[in-house]
Amino acid sequence: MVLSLARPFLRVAARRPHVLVIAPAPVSDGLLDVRLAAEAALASRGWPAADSPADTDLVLVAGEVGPRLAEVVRAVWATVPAPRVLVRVGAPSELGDALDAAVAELARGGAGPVSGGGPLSGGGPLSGGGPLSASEASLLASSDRNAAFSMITGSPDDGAFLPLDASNDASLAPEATPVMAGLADDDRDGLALDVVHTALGPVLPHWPAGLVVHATLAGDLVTDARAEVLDVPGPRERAGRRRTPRGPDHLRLDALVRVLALAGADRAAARARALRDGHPGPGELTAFGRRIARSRTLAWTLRGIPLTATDHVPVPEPTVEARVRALAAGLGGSLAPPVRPAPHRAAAALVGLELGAARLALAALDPDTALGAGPVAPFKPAGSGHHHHG
Amino acid sequence: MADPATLLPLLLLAPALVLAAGLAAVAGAVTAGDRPTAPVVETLRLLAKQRRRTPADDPLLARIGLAVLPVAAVLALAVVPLGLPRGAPVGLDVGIVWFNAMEVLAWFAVWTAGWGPNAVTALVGGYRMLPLGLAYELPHMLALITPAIAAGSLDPATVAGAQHGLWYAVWMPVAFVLYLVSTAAMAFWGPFAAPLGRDLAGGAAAEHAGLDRLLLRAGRWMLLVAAAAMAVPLFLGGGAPPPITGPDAFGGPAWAWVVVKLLVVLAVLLGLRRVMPVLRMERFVTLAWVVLIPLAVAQALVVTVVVLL
Repeated sequence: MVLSLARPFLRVAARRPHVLVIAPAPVSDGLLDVRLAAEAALASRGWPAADSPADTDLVLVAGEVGPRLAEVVRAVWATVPAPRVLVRVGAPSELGDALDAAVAELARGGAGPVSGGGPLSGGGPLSGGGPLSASEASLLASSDRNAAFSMITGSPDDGAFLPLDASNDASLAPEATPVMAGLADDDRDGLALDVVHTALGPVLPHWPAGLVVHATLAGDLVTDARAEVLDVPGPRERAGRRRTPRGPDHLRLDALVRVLALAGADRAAARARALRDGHPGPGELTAFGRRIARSRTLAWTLRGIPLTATDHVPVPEPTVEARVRALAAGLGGSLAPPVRPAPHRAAAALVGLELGAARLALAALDPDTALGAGPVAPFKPAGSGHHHHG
Repeated sequence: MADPATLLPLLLLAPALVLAAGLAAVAGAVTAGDRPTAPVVETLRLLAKQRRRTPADDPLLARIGLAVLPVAAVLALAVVPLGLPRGAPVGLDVGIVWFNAMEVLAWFAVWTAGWGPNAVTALVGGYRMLPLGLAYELPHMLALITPAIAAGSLDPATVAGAQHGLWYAVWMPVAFVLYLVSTAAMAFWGPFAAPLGRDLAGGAAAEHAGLDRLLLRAGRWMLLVAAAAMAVPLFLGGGAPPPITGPDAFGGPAWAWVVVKLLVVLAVLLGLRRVMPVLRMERFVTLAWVVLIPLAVAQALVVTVVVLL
């Protein structure tokens, strides 16, 4: 039996699970604490972050999620291949136990959605890995429902765990079918490419927590972008100067982690994360900031991405390169915290950029998702009614 | 070809390349600050992982592309003289052309792997193979052809044999550096990994799980090792010992020298990843057409003129 052959594989594989962290917008310091603690815990265990649901073994929901984000979690979970485990953590203190339990479950096979045939089987209900059906997408709260954290491993038991909404907006899942709608209005390069209406986020690597950018893409060019923060309608006014115990350097490092990781400067990103999660001295911060601000290879690869929105200038720096240099150079100093634009202004700055450049621009802008944005009605092609996935 | 002695290296080629690619992946994990066991754990993880499909996809096309990648790497390596007594596993007098043709299959592989799943990030990852190819392929072809011009042959074994006394890495250093850079780009690896970029949630790999993902990851390492191996006969004198040490200072079998030189080339490539972030395609295309292609043409021109004189 193939499954029995896979058993030892599972135990070995569970030593290094790929983790997909899904976190809500940090409207409270507590939510931010959970996300940061989760990232620090994964780094200290040496577990890589999953690139996409297909790359995921362990879905880690970091914090209390609202109804809209819960839909996304359900849609994403439905597309994670077995063996898989989902854990939800409400507070940083629960993390250690939750991750240990999740790994133990993964080593047992993670109770995937397949009832007959093992994960390696080619002839089971998912023969050749067919699209997961809606019923398989439903979730189960594990037997230890009284534990501090919740863990899900796979079989159907509707609604025991996540708040549900009647409309299943699967279009927010990153793998949802792209909706094509004719040719681009703004055909910059004359290639007559189809327009794709898609939702970027909230489940993307190094993406601001809780943010969705409803984007129109012509090829890989962003021709329209509207922001929505799930479960946080907005835009809200900044309620005075929010006091956080973490200070401006923490904000700078959090933004730098994302930019450096997206730019593929992995070692610098790991260093920035270690500084963010640790208690660095000002000397360490200044030295790191100076190294990043002076890096020629980084500046060269980030060059030429403007940060100017059509209606409003979101940040003082005109380009991603200048923004990153300013963030890095400010480390360890006594400068005011960096300007963080509202999500809808940050999204407006993405229009006209190539998707990769847009990702870097958004990471460098580091919008304050706690300010909220949206909601935005998802694009519906004329006359085709409701699109369902699966 | 019916002679079993000639068939044996051919049969062993695929397992040998898989093994070499695995070792290269271990070295890559160590350079990236990961545990050396990470590639082994990853392989077992992907073998135990369910495969996966997306709505309205084209799995046949995607899986053809994914399967082509390791096959192309083996076929490319087949014409590389590895210092074995009977020469390359397949002695071909236009070996360099064959080698390049097999490498270009990577374009097809990444494009179809990105196209197949019918998803945005995967498709954009596939798109990125086109600017990458437009940027690296011309410098790569010129870097391949320059040693062939100097040696007057498209057979890699003849090119290796023509370098008595002076390795082409010294005689045409620009072509050698361009070959190394374009090799990393051809294997869409390291600084040129934009088609599988993290900003696209894994790009062309974003929607592939299990065995499909393993084929893409392993195929990429195999392609990198095969292309690095070609640098040995083209630029580093093949199985000959370094000429600096004098005629017989370090003897040793030819295959051992090939292995040592291959390790050096791979170490240089792994070092490249440490110093460079992932290049955005618009930046790399600009660099290629403004700097790399003129350099490659100038190098080929210099070599041609010297050969004609």
